[in-house]
Amino acid sequence: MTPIELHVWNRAFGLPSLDPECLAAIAFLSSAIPQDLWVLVESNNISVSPNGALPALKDGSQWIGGFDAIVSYLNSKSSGGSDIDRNLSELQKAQALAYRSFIRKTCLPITSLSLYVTSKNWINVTRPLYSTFLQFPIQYEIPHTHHARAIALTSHLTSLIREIAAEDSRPLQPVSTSFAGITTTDKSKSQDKEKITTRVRLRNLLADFLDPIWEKLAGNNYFFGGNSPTTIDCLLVGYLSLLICPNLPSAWAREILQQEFSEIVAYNEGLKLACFQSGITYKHPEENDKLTLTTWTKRAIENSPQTWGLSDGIPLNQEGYEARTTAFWVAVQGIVGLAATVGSVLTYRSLTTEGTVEVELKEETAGKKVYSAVKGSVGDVEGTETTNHESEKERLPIFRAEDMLGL
Amino acid sequence: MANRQDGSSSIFRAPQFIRRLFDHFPLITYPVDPPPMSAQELAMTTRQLQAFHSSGVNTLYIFTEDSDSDQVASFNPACLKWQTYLKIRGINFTTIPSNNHASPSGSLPFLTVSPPSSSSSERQRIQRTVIPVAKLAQWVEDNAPGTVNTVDTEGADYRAFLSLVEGAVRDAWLYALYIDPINLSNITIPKYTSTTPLWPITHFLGNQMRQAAIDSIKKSTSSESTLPTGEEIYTKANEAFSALSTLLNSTGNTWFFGADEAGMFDASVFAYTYLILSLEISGSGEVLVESLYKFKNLVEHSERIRRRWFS
Repeated sequence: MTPIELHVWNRAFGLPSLDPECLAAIAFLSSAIPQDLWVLVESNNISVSPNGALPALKDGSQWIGGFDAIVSYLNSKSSGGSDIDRNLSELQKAQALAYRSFIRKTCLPITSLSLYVTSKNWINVTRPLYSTFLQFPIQYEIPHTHHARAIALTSHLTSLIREIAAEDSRPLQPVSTSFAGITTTDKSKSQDKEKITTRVRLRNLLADFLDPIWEKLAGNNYFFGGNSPTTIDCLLVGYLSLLICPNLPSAWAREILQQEFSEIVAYNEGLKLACFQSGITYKHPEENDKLTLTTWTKRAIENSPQTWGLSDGIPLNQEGYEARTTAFWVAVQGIVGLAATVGSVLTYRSLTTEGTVEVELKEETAGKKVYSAVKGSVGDVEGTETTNHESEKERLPIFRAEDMLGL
Repeated sequence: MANRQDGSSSIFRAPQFIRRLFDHFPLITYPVDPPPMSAQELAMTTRQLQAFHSSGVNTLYIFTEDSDSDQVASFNPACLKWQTYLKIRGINFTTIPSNNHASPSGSLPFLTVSPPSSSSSERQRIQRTVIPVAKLAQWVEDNAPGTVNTVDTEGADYRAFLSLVEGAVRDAWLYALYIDPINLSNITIPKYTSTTPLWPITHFLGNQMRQAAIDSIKKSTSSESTLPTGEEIYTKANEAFSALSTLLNSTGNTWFFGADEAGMFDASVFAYTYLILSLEISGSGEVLVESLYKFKNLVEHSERIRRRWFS
């Protein structure tokens, strides 16, 4: 039996992936199924996944996209054998579902802010990171997409982002104030105060996410107590590791966590050892699943109506997206076909019109003779032939399509 | 030259006569606009208005059908949540159909209240205070009679389950009402554009609402999927209903978190369950209605609130 493949984003920051959901899926597979039954593939190719995002699981010819779908697929495939939530009560399962949604909703903006939107971190660490594993034209598009997504996710934090940016670019401040003719008194003091308020706001942002987690953990090794991780632990280790592990120039997330949430840092360390260190088998992606320039270009072209805002919407099911792609290619073919037809008609017209104009000119110079020749053609075949020959000699070498019709 | 101490280039300073000219602006500063009033209030004399306001009637501006009855529920979940919560907390108020252009903060609902009778000047007495939605919870705490619902709204489970209501359930609601073309044209557009039922306006507003719903769903599902589908969204909502049903069942099936009286969380859930059950949603949204009907205790919970506060 061939092992199942887990396709994820590339490793980074000493972690097996740079994406929280991919890390969660890796943590889930290492705690749910034996090590020799699965391999990790750093394909970085979202077009393999049916829902357009990694992680994606490849089992034979079947593809499953997304952490939740992977968990339920493996649970039903093993008929509960790999269900790491099987010892939970009904209420705990309901809580697990609620916390999944809570973690994603509150923590994703924080990781996005830390890794992508804090410009110092984005420019110095995250942005260059993508260039290390993506090839030439693609290394510009994918990080841009991720950056844009992060900005959209943190749109409710704009004032905080501005404060972080102002704090990071402090040395520039005096220049710009003198330029504007403003003199600030007691600069260092007000800056310190600003720095403290920014820190407090960042701390509150983290506390929004971490206080409930800390409350539920209550000093346990695992979220619901017990001796083994559950799916919530897997999701948490994915999101928390990306706040704690990366070594960033603007390291507010790590500093606040280490200073004020040391229990959560310790919990994450324990989970990381259990989930990420146990000798993961890596495999190169198969030829079809590789991120190549061709697959990337095809996907980029297929997505272009959405990118340009021409077709947007959420279809009822997956076939809707396929239908949309098909419709797109049909439309492209139609447009190409139409353009070819119009083009050929125009070429034909331009060539033929040019011909007539030329002929008219010639006819004018030939004058009466042609006119009479045509007249004569009603009865006198020979005469027509000779005059035709004459006029033909005169209008050569102009091509006329009518000549090809055999008249 | 004395005013050029900073040494920056004079190119960037406007000539003096221009600066002097602009010193005169703004020419007139208008007084702050009063909060929105009904036509009835506008027609009143100052004395009548004073009497009207001192009667202590608070006014909640929400998306709702134009009706004299205050028992009509709003068709917008955010408005319905607050309408229900104010009723639960025993606050006396009337509702006025409105839309977000009327709101000082740009979003509904908002409450206007009479100022405390101690305020001295006549002008102050006829000006009503606006409580925007962000400050409504605090205002209720300060002004409502005490409640026996002591559920900690900062508690871990409370916030986790609330994110489920505002995530999976909201997404499914948006999909069914704004993206499904049948419900969009049969329910959503007529209800939200009832004040301006002119063809091009309804069309553009409908498109704007639909686009906003698409953006909202894409943002909410972006952690897991860049190609969300309606079926997935409905499946997630079904799981969310199941989790909420288990939660309600675990504490005696009356109010959430075992409280003795309904509270904020009950109002949040009711805002969606009541509308899903009562709006006659068709098209793809039927799946959502059917999956909610499977959870009897959620349907009963919704019915319990409706009977007590909306009948």
